[in-house]
Amino acid sequence: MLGKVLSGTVTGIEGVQVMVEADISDGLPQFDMVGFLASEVKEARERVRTAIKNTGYILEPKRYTINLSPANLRKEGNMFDLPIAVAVLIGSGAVPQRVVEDCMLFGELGLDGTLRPINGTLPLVTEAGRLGIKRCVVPYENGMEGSVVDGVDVFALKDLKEVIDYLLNPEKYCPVITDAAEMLLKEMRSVKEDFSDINGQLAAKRATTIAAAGFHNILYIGPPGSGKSMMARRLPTILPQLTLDEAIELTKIYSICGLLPRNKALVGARPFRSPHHTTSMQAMTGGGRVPKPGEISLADRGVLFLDELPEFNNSTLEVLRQPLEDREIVLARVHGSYRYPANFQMVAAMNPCKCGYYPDRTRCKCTTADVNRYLQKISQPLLDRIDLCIEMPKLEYDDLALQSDKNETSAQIREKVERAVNMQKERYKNESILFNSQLNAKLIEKYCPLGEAENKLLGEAFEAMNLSARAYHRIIKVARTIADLEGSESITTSHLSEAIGYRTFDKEVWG
Amino acid sequence: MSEHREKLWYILNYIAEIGPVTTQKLIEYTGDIEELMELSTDELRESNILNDKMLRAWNDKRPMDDALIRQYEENEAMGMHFASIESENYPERLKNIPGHPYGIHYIGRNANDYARTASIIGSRGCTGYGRELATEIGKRLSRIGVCVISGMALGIDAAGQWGALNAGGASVGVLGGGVDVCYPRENMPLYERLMSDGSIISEQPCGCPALPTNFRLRNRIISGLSDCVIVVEARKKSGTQITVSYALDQGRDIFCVPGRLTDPLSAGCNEMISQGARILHDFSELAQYFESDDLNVNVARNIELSPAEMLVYEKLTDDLQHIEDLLMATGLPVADLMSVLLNLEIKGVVHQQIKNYFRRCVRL
Repeated sequence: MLGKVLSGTVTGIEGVQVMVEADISDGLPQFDMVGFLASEVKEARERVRTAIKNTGYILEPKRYTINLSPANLRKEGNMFDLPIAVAVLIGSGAVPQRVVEDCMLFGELGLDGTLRPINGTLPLVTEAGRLGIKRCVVPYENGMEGSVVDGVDVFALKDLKEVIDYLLNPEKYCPVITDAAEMLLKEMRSVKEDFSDINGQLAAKRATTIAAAGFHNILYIGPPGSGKSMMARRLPTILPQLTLDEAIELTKIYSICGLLPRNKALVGARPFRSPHHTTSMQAMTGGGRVPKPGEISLADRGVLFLDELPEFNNSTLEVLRQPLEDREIVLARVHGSYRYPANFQMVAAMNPCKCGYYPDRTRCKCTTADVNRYLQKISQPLLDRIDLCIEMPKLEYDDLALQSDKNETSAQIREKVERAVNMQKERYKNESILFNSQLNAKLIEKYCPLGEAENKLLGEAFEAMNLSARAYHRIIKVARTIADLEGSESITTSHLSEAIGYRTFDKEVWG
Repeated sequence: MSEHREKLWYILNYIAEIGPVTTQKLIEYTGDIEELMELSTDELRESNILNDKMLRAWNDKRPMDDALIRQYEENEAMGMHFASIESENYPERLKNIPGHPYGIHYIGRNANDYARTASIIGSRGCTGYGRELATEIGKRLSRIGVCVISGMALGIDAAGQWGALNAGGASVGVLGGGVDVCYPRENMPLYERLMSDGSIISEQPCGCPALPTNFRLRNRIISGLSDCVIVVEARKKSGTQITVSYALDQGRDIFCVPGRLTDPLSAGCNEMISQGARILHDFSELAQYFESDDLNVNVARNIELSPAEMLVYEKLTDDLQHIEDLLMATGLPVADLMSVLLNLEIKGVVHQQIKNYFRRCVRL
């Protein structure tokens, strides 16, 4: 007899439907599995046979043929144990075929028949929803995650016995119900860091606010202990709140990496990834024969923090250039290409020189050549993608002793940021961009016209400061964001002059 | 002076192991360069002037005489000149200093062209204030026709020389390596400019790398070529102090720019002042020293500042201050302060030496 069960696998961050077929016929006792299987799927044979036996069913000594279709798609992951087991049981007549109509099953089996958690529940259930499938059975631990998807009832079950019971008597079981929006809010409230923790560094705070409002990449330069990491770590708390769609995209990425905590349905806070400077190129972009998302994808919709920027391997940094433009990364492998979102904000921090104390000449003994050599480790193309740059001074005791209740909180700053973001959304509703940082030369001309006084100021400043032409567009983009923060439709001289203060360092100007 | 004798001096100069002191002894022993160069190794050994190392160098390099003479001729054709102590191109000022070199190499004009000279020296890792001041002094000196001598090092040296060159004056760079070796490499633009608008001088043979041991000796030429030595910024126990002690031996006048008590970069200057160096408290000091009537080089500028600009300007000092400190001092919001600072910078009264670090511009 034949049994058919729907299941799925994950490629990239999307789920793909897989049909599991089991045929049981007379012949020499054999258990064959076909369908372009990875080894963890092939090994399902032993788990499925033992789990079925330990659940109380007897597998007759017949010829079992299992097929996973489509045959040209490589099947990866541990979610096929349960569908194979159920298909075998249908084939052997223990369960009728009709009970699995409209139902997708995922799960790994233990030898005793328990269901164990899988990676990628959210993309799989989302795919089920897209195909119009009404019910999904997932391991108990993955229930919350799967239930986020609208229109699909997710049943979180503990073992194979329970699955069979559910299939035979579905009316006895309730689907998992979660309020995704409420959960998102709860997640956000659980963030502990707050901007009010930082005393002093007003200029850097202002720059960080601007970076958040325009999704600009930012570079902090300062001596050790000036609060660069502290500032960066708090940037996600002032970025606009995640929308449900963004949270789902993010949760998919974390889900397929197995990084989603088992009792959580959604990644609710914007991620903050801080890869160490010894990180390899593959870890950054995503690597492996079947690539897993890398740091840039895990930082999607959030912050990728590169501390000690000049210490990073050059090739590791250079691979960031293209994802910074395209907001996604495509990894080509022998079995196909994988597309992962990489819509991150790059935040970098570095010391001003090797010893870290320049320009405090009483402590820094680096020669000018040393200082320049240190800065030159960062390539110009990468610098060109950093709109804002702020030098942070070492903190004095007075700054630390300031009253912390005077500091603005993340919630207050976020309110301003969201206003600016909404202005941008409104302005760019007919364009393919969302933020000022994505403006190109042509769009700058269209959306950032400068008046006579502004042009004059810019001309004088370029003359006086010996700025490079590269700086021009970056300054205008940042000025546009400052104007948005102020709620101003046009860019004024004061917006421009502030933006000039945040320009990226020019190598000739330094020292 | 015959060209033949010049070539002999060139060959002797090429044996770098034999320095000025030994050369002097050799000349005293034989009485003349031509006779000296005729001596055989045994005769030299008998003289007991040369040690084994020098003798070995002599033996190794004398067979190359012909090649060296060709090199001399090629160098002359390329503009890398050699002047022995007997040459009219040899700097007059050097002749009367103790331990003077017996031959020098130079590119550009010969040092006797410069009627009045002053050296501007100081730290390599100087402050922005020091650099700007050195540039300004170089500029002012060149306006009254004084040639600026220095070592082409990073920091004060180069700043003073650039000041002079950019104001249309002349400058001399004294190198620790051969005249064809630009050291430090970063100062290549300065080196090229000196070739056309000034001179490059060295006592080392062409092609000699800039060895650390040469710089001490180089310093005696810097002070020797100068009428006076101006020290802008110097730490205690620095190379600058070596130059100053040579200058004292050579009877040159020394001016020091006074610095703050606590500033390690001025500690050397202050120490020298306490030991009797002249204080450069006003530019007219130098004008008087060089007997120039051009005392009114100060061009008064009247710059109008708005109240906010005035407020910020008053909080600024000669030291670098981060914008964060100015925020605290002035109480202005970030955006306002940044635009005020930009305006001040455009007006040329504030200098942003490093991004977000500001100080007043130096006004003499």
